[in-house]
Amino acid sequence: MNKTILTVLAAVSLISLKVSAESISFDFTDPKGVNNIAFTLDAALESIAGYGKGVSGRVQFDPSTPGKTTGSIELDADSLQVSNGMMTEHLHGDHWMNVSQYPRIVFMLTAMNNVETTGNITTADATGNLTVKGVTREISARVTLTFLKGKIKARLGPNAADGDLLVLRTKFVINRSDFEINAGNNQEKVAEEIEVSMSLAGMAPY
Amino acid sequence: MRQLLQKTALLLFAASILIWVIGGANRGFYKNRLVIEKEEAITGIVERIERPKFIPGIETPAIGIFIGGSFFLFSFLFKKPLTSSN
Repeated sequence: MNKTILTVLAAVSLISLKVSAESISFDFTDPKGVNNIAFTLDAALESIAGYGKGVSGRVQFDPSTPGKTTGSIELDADSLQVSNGMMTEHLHGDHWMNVSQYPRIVFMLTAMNNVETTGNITTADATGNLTVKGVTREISARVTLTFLKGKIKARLGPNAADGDLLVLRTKFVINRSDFEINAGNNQEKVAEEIEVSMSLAGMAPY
Repeated sequence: MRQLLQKTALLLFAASILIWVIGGANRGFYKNRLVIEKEEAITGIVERIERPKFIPGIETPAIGIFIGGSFFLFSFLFKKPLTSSN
């Protein structure tokens, strides 16, 4: 009896190990410092463009079942900047992003639909919860995931550990009033719509 | 004196417009950083590299118009230069 139970437990453990082994965990903290999330606000009087480099997060991706991808991407709100030092200070201030009280912007992936894979490129409608300034809203965006097997060394140089890369690209639009970013004010100079563009590389060393 | 002030006003106005146009006629506020976009070879992701650079904004011609206009109005406090007449 004990032998049967042990055999079943061993089989279950092996199956679990196999399932977890197929899903690769990619870390989006970039040692090269290239990862960034860009944003544009095109108002009647002024077009404002900026970006944030404080990207982190993990994505679990299985090349054989990309529709089961899970994970989250985070951005340090303090890393957001525009091309004018004074405007960047205002952006971080209480009226706008209030970075001292809300230091993280988080996107948590909940579902992948309409998944299409061609070679190493997967496109899908990613749905998830975006939290900005403590306000969480569900958003959907078309994402492209490019799986680059064994390309870490090619990106980081010969001294880096070998491993896989996952490139994540997406563009989507959010409204600043939805996230209480100085809602309803200064709309002639700061547009209501924020176009967000992500172009990120995650790494999974072997 | 009146003519000198009016010429200075015109010069300030023209210079501020010229600086703004040469700087790219940026319709927003001034910028003190220039962001250069470069595509990374392996991943194709866009790298943003920052360089300190002053790019004049819409406040440059606005200041030129304000100061130039002030000089122009101030010039009327002085008498018109005398012209010789027959």
